[in-house]
Amino acid sequence: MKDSVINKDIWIIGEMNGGRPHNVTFEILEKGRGLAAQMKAGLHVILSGRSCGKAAQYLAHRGADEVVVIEDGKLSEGNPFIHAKAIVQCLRKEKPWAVFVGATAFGRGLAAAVAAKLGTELIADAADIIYDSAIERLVVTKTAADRTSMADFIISGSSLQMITVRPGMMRRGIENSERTAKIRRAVPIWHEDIQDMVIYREISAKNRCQISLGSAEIIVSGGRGLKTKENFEMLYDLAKRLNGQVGATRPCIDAGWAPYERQVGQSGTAVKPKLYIAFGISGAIQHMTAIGAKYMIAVNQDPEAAIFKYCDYGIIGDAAKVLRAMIDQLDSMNQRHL
Amino acid sequence: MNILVILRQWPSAGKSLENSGMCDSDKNVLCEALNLRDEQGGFVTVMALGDEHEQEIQILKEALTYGTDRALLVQISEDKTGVALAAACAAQALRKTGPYDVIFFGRQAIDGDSAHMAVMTAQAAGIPAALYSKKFKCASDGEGWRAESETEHGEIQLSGNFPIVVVSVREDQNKRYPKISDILKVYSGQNMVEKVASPDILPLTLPKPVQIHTYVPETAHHQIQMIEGTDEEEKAAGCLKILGMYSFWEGHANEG
Repeated sequence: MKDSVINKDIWIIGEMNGGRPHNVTFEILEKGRGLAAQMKAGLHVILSGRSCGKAAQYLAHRGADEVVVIEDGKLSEGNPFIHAKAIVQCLRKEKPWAVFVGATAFGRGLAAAVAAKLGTELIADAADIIYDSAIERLVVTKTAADRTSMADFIISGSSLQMITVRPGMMRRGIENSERTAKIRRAVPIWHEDIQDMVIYREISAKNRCQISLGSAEIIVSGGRGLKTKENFEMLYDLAKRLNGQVGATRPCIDAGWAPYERQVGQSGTAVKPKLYIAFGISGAIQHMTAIGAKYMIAVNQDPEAAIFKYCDYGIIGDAAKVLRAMIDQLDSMNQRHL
Repeated sequence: MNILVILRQWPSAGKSLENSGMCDSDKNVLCEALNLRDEQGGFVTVMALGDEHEQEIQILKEALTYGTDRALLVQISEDKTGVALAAACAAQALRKTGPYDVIFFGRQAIDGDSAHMAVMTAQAAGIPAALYSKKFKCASDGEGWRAESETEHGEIQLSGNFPIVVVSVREDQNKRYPKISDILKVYSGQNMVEKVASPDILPLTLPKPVQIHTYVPETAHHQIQMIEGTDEEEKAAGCLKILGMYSFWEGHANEG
């Protein structure tokens, strides 16, 4: 940030979701609470929206020292840029040392717009954040630039550290209704900017598909090793028989085999199922870092596939054929028991 | 209509598990741009940012084989990492080589499906942005553009005038493939990739992320158990036996 910073306070840009703060806001708040305690610094949350004042209490109960509420009829949930305009006014006055934002689709656009307006860099999709007292900087863990490993990053050349945090990677913490926080309001002053030239019209509230990978106990997931969309679609049959959900790697989403909501990985959903079965998945780091399964089984025809380093059980074989055989055998056994 | 597609920036060093060549996300957005050109008339340019690494040149050549009209390599030094500086370079380059009506980004920019590069480039260039567009088209009345976007909060219709930066996540368009005539032209020995010199004036004081430590994530603590079998049927049976053992398979845990 071009202006000088006067303290190590952490600011979190909260996101609203259906009248309450989004779960990722609670996750970041819990992480922020630990870091602020370590640094003996303040923890603040900015919450913006058409009607978000009542939601401030949830944040107080989860450990925020202060919640700044920005309420205005212009602040629709779908337009991150209008929120960025209001939030930047607040941040310019407060001069934060660090700003955390949830890496939802909304949060990503919002964080980038805020970073651009404040003239700072942004580290995206953090899996973890720690404070290094030796260098007095936040150290962010995320996928390395070469995408084959994990790496730690710091922001150099700026006193302000802006970080987006992947949903599902951090604990949410426990609500304590006895905790209180200072709650105050900020009133935005609306100036025109270039982004006002895009007109937003809400067509429909989220037609929330029934996919909830983040809370699924069993996930059967497919990668390009399944070779065709038709083979991939067999996963739905297996998932139904196991009462599970279907996940996909990023290349499958890009190939149009599955909708984005099924993506497991760095830019998709982080999952913590009891069982994760991976069919034809190579084990690329950006996929594996998003999986915290109790048991993992992998099927891949390449004995050197990286995924075999991460799983409990492995099958070297044709993923599509194994998948087909599992479905047929389940059906056959179910038939015998009817 | 003058259309620009900014391709995903590749790391300057190190191996990648992903395929060499254009990623699927960039192929999708390039197809969208070419389809729009064919519909509306105009010109499609692809742009990559890098330090003349062979990989960037090959990716630009690959894009040309799809029928792209022009390919630009914006030369930026290796030490200019970070989205803020890359976005500043891209913004200056598109001013230098444009003007463009539509600037497309795919789902994977330097930072991996985060839209940061697109938003920061748009802000630096003073152009508005439309994010996560599933369907972008020119307005039927000839006035500007329309896009449908789906977010966690619902479906949104966006509209506006040109120019516009679009982050496209469209998957349902007509696919295109390289043409033999274009392949021959591109690989005939002619240099078809134009180099755009590093912008003259850069905000040199922009901060950047610094990678300080690299490591491989924790692998399984215990030895993996391989499920054996003479064929896929036997391996599948072995897998179901494991599922039954842990009671993941309802109703017949003791089967087999």
